[in-house]
Amino acid sequence: MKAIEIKNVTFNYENSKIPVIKDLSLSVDKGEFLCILGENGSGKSTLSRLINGLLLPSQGDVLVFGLNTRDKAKTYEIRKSVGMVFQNPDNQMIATIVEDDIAFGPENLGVPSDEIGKRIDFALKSVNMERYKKVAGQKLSGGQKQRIAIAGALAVMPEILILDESTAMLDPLGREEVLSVIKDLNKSGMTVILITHYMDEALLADKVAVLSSGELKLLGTPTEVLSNPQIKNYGLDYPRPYYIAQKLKENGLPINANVFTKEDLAEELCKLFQKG
Amino acid sequence: MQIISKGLTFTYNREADFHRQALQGVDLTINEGDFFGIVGETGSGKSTFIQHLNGLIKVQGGSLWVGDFNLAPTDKQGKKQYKKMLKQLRHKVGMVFQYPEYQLFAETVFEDVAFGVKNFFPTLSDEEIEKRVAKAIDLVGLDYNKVKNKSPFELSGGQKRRAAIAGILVSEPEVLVLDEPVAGLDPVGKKRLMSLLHTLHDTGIVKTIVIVSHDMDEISENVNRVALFCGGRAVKVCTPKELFSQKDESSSRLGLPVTAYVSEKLNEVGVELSSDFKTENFIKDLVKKYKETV
Repeated sequence: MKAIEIKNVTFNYENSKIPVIKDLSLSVDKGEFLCILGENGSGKSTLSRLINGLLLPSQGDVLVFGLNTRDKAKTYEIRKSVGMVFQNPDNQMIATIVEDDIAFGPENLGVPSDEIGKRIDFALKSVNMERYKKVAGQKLSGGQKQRIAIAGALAVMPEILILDESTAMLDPLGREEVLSVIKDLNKSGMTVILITHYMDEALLADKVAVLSSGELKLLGTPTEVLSNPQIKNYGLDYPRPYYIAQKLKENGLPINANVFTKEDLAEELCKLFQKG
Repeated sequence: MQIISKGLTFTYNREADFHRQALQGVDLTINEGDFFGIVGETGSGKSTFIQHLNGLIKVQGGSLWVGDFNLAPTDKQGKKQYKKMLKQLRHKVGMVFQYPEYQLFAETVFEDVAFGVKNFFPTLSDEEIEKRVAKAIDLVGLDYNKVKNKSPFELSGGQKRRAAIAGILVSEPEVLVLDEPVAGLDPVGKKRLMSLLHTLHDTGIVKTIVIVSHDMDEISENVNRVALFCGGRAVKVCTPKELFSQKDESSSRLGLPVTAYVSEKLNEVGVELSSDFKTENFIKDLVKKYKETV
């Protein structure tokens, strides 16, 4: 089943003739992990806002589990099924105490209070933050705050989670924490859309889409896309391990240069030197 | 201007019950001409430290000298004098915060960049102001005639950040301090911005550059010296090569640049590389090593 179908969507903001999204078609299966890459201003964030109906297409249609975002009667249902997490850990918290913050979504939807309690526990468990239920949000680290933001989205029981550069402001440990939570959620069946500037994060996805000037330029598996020299035309670059491996191969080192992580690069080189 | 911090301490909300000691005695020297990196986990004191460098935070304990400026207020010095000193200091030490483009506020790029000059040099003629603004915008690689009358919000992400940096460069600082300068930029934008910083540094337009970064590849690629902050102290001050070759808890939590990680693994199987961890040198070194073995 398709979780999301984007059909020939063009979008321009009011008062602007220049489309931010141009005739874009893309679909995401239920349970799939899609990563969207693209330079600053390529339309990534606009696309994510079209998916949960925050924005409506100027032309074309967006379907979320078969529901058209144009259908005003379904807006509520669509918003409920698409959870969003944004970039800045400091401006997504509404309440002072973690559990109140997570309760905000379900309370808004009129979920009964005993059910809210259950959802808070479930959401905190999903992001490994059970111990922080009663803690003040401002005492948390960036990575912890982002995990609470994810928990807040989960408490509404979405079927799709969109993360719009949610790791950009985190330190390496915080980034790892958040990515591992995202991976686990995807394993347990959540459809995930990750928007990022980190090439290594794209490796976690099933499918990678590259946007430039509002158009879908490349679509494929992470290794297909990340090894495509065209990405340089779209503000992107090879992951560093891949770049190094390619250079070494060009210089005559007989290695498998199709490596994308530092672990794989190290393994290839150790093999090479141990042979010799 | 050399920056010398000795035993610098700082506590937030000192008077209150919930006070928090952010700096616990920072000993650190940044030399004139350094392209200096500051690394450490969130909460290690990096931001608190750099905010001291242009007097945004007043020294509470220990001493801090930036060139001839003594940033610890002395008893002899009146409030007025201290304020005067701060103004001179801020024109010498430019501070670029995280996501500086969020601080763009004027209607045109020209006005935004000009704000800095007008503030520091209120007596300048319009002509002189325009000359300086044009120079700063040109320095960051934007086309002055194309962008001067544009709203800053019409620029792309990378361009906005450049415009924000132009607003700092316009006061011709000797030291430029940047907190996570490339965060949130796409890979090409990152490369361009870093090469802009190198150009400013190499040509001596800015003598000393200090960057705070979480990206260890960025650090190993760009700086000549680095300080590792941990628990409110600079626990190590060394070259990136030294930082990423030592194995201990405080540095291993940072993660390693790709080059250092691979070097470590190769070392374990008896292959020793001598290069620093800059990607191009690392590649050359590996190629040489390989040719020796065959």
